[in-house]
Amino acid sequence: MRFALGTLEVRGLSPEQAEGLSWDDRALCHRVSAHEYAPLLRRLHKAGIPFDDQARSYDSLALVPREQRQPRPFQTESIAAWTGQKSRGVVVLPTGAGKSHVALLAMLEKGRSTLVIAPTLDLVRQWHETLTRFFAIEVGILGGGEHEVRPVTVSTYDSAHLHMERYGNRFGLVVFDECHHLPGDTYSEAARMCIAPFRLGLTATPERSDGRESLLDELVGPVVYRKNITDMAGTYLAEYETRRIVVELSPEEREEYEQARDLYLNFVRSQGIALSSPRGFQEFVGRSTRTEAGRRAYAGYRRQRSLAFAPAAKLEKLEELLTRHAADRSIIFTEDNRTAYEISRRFLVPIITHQTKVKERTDILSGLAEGRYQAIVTSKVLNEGVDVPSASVAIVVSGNSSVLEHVQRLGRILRQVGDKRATLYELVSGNTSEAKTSDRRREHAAYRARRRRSP
Amino acid sequence: MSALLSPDLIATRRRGDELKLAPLSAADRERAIEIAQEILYALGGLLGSTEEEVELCLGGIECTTREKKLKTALERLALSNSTFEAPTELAPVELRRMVFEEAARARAEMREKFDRKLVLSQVGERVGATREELERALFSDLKGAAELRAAPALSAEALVAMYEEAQLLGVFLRAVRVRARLRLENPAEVRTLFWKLKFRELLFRLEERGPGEYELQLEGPSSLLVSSTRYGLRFSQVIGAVIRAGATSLEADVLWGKSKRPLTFRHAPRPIREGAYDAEDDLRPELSALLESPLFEEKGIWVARASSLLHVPGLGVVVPDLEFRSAGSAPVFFELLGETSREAAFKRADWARQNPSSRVIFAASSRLRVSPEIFEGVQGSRLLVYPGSLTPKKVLVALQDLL
Repeated sequence: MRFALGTLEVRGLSPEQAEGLSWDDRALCHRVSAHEYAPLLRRLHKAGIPFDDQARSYDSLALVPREQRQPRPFQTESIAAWTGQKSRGVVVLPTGAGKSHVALLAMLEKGRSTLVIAPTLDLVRQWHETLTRFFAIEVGILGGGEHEVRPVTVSTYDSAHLHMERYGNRFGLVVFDECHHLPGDTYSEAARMCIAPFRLGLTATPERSDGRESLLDELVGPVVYRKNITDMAGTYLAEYETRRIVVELSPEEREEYEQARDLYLNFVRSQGIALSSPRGFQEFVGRSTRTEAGRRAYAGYRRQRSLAFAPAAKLEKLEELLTRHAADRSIIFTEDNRTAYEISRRFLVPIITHQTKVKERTDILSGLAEGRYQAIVTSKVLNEGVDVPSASVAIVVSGNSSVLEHVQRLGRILRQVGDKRATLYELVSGNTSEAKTSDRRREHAAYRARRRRSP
Repeated sequence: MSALLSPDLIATRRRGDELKLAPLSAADRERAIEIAQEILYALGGLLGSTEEEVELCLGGIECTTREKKLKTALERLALSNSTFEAPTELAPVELRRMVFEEAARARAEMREKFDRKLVLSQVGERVGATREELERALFSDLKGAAELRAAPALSAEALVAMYEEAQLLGVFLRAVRVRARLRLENPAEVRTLFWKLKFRELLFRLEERGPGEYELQLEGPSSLLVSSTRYGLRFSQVIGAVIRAGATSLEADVLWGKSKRPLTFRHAPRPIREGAYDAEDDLRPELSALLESPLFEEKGIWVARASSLLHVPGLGVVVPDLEFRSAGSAPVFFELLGETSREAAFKRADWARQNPSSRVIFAASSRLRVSPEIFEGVQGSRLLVYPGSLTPKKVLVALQDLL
């Protein structure tokens, strides 16, 4: 058995022994995805079939922590639960609770070459610092222009996908940080192309809007441990409150909103599309491209949406909140880039979107941490993976109906620093579809106990 | 100049198990040329406009619902062959930093209302720009804000031809396997095609079927266990060249549509040869390093690109990469193997055993996990297995007994 380009080539099996494996007539061998390595070994052992394992190319590591830090009880419990599941599985903990330390404990427990995969370069840097500091070792990096593979390496998901076909046999443990990203078409390939028998997924929110979180079972393992924000607020996380502020559209905005919405909904009705069905919206988009009426309906949909996202009253309320929290550090979230840029232009606050280059992004985040900026605005890219302990205010100007996104945004301000008390504001346009969207995204325990209707 | 089109912009129809491209009828072509003319004319008049403005204007070019896909594809190709650049008089990143820091200071010291205009005026004074110039430059590096500097230097007919080629490539990109019959006039063309395929690290087999007649079997992007964009890009670079130069017929097994239905696609290129496979130096860096190394010259060895073809049973035509000569001795050929197939090394060993007069060094990285022992008992040729990278010194050692 050998590792070849993210797969395992197996030679010399009889047809009975090879049941369930694919035959590759180009290389004249059986071939399976590399992530089948551990089950395949178990199968060969169980059947008493002797084999020559040329696939494994990872080492045992004698890792010694430089810092003696007493794990928190939930960290110890989560590692116990993970090892109890053959060291494959997902640990769900709120942002700011100390997920990274769980990974460090897993590395100490298994003592194998380890690859840590994270979704953003910011997180890759944070992991690199954490691992270097904790173990006092040289840590490799893949991504952001770096290409250095060491027994302990940190990579972005993108680079892992690019390079796993070469390095997929070099690690015995893989840590998938923010592992809810993994079930996507591309990133899941990275998990399939590596042989690591030990796999740890870390996330605050495994659920995905496309329902593909079930793939995590195959790629990483089952959820083995879970704690929610409400279990930890006031102990391991900052105390917080959430405030929903309802604003009204101006008469002109209201009229335009209603007209645009009628255009959109009349088309939906005329086509017999059920928007509440799982594929309803997709069907609307598909049909809207086919006729002129459809295209007008789609323009109507976009217009009513953008009117609800950023009416004048929301921006006035935002001005008020920025003034009220001039001494705090705030992160403003929007659903779309257009609104984010509008806010950045109007209030002259730094903006981070997918178009922001790493250097500028790093400067903006350090500016917020140092107090050079009081507030920054972003659409979705800061929903996760950014550690700004000093931020205590989140202002959600607009968002989608995803509970995942809303919990992630709340998580940005919950890291415990001193006696910090965090506040999440949600600005909602009254009597618009956004009110329902807001109701849906707040269907999470984190929002039930700590709501205030208005400031 | 070219571009790829996404599958939603490929116009196809299905007949049984056969996939066909929906060709442009004479009337359709005339209309396509009209639309292309309008797009190119619009682009010519939009120099200096932002990308967002350009897309908005192109959206205004009228077409029927039936022509929508064609128009979008033509727009996509025209835009990929245009040049957009950000206005660069004021460096936007530095400018933003100045503006946002000034605004943060103003907000911290604020007594009444935040005065946006005052902040911009203060920064404007420092950089010698008006408030309006500042507003324009603040986000001038964003994608949609890039300005059109050059429209495509293409005729409408050429844009439509590019569209037709992109349609064809779009289908082949969904191929599991492509079989092409090729007419290659001379060994030089065979060698160049072989090197091109090898340089792109594609999975292929090239067989001679008669004088000047070859069959190429090329594994498509959909043949991989998991689809790979990189393989697809490399594949598209080669398949276009195969179509343009010398292919008399192509047949592809494709997986089409969301359900990945297996279908057959056949294509008979027009009998036009636009020059063969030249103009490109397809040589892997390790081989370039050997060609450029002074070490061989110092030892009286002459190294050049090889000019011979080998016929290896089970592998078809194999073209060595280099040949080494020294005074008074027969040439020694050199072939660098890829890292994907041990079978390729085994078959070369069989061939070398049957051809004891051959003098070929086959070089394989130790990552291929083959042993020089597979050439045990072979006279003349040998297998050089090298750990790490291939260096001239390692090749020189292998050459010593042969030259």
